[in-house]
Amino acid sequence: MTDHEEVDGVIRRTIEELRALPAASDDAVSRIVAAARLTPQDPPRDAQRGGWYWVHPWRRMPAVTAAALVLVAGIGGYALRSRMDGSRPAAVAAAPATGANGGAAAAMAPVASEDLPANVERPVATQFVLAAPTAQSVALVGDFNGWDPRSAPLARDPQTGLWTLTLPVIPGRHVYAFLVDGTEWTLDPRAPQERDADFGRPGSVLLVEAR
Amino acid sequence: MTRVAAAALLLCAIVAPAGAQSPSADQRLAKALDAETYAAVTRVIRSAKARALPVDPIVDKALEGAVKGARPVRIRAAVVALADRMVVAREALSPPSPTVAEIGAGAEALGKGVPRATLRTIRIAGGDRSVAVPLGVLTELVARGVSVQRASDQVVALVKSGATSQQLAALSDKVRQDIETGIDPAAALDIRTRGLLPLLPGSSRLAPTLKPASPRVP
Repeated sequence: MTDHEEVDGVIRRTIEELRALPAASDDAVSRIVAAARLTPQDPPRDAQRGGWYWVHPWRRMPAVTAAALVLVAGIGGYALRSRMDGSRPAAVAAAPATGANGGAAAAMAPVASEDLPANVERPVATQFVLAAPTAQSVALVGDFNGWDPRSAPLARDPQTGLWTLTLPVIPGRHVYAFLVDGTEWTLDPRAPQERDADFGRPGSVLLVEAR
Repeated sequence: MTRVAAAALLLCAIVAPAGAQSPSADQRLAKALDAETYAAVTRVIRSAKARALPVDPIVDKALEGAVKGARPVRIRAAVVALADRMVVAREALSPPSPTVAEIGAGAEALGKGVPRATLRTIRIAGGDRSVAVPLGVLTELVARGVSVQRASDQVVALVKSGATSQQLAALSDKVRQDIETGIDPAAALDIRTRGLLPLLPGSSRLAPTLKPASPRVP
């Protein structure tokens, strides 16, 4: 027997049972409906057990569900922020490669892969390299990292002795410099320089191409 | 769990991450600037927020001044000027709604003397593509000594012809190298533009409009 035939059988038997009952009077129906309206309604059994109930969602929601919702909202908040402001990406997902700019080199693949509006370009992993053999520390400061030396320290490559760092950078023109040993303002010898009309201290120029 | 507590927790979860950078940036500004400069920069940021401008470039400019050891008066002047340029850039680049990167690039170009109308022309020429790189290339060409007018004309022509971000950046780099070898900036741009245009899909209708940097020798 197919599902349709089984359902048809149930309906047929139901109709036969209903036909066997005496006809309901309109008066009886009215009294039953009026009595039902006056009876206080209990929440469904699921709600009494602590399950989701749409009339009182917060009161009925179990703590685990609420925590999960808060977690999802939090993640969503971060995702929304990164979608709204793509200027400060935080992750690197591509290996560096040689770039045409001379100093900093752009990698071949964009960092982000999510769908973006047409005029929003994905950050490109970009490598910065400085030869500073006597330096104890080298940090990168630029308009792509809020000029924050603490956010972008370079690491010394043990084999070459070069200081290097790869960062995701939004395509466009950027100005940057290195801070050697925390105080020494050092331009990238491989990159073009720019006079600084605002503050008088020149910077290195980086043109990051969109991929 | 009461509904009020749950709603407050949910609201915090949504709002706190979205504004997570603001306290950090504010703390950095407070730490990097003296009280008077901090107050002045904060006023500019509030004004920018009221005008729905992105504030990150303004924060960056103030922090740039601080890390460069600039005097407070120069930091204040720089952030005010940048905010004003960002307003102009945003208007020139709309519609469609420009990104933070585009507004920043437009503001930098304006700072180099590129007229507002050129930003609009580049936006229209670029269609729905980002114009952050074309504007950056334009700024870079002007910074290397190419006149604003010539650099604007050439970049607009290249964007209209469909030059990609990579092609524009490569052209900018070659022009810089040419200039460093002693070639006149306008001539360098002209040569490199004429070398690139024939390779572009939309170049045939634009090539005749380009004029050489200097009269040709017969």
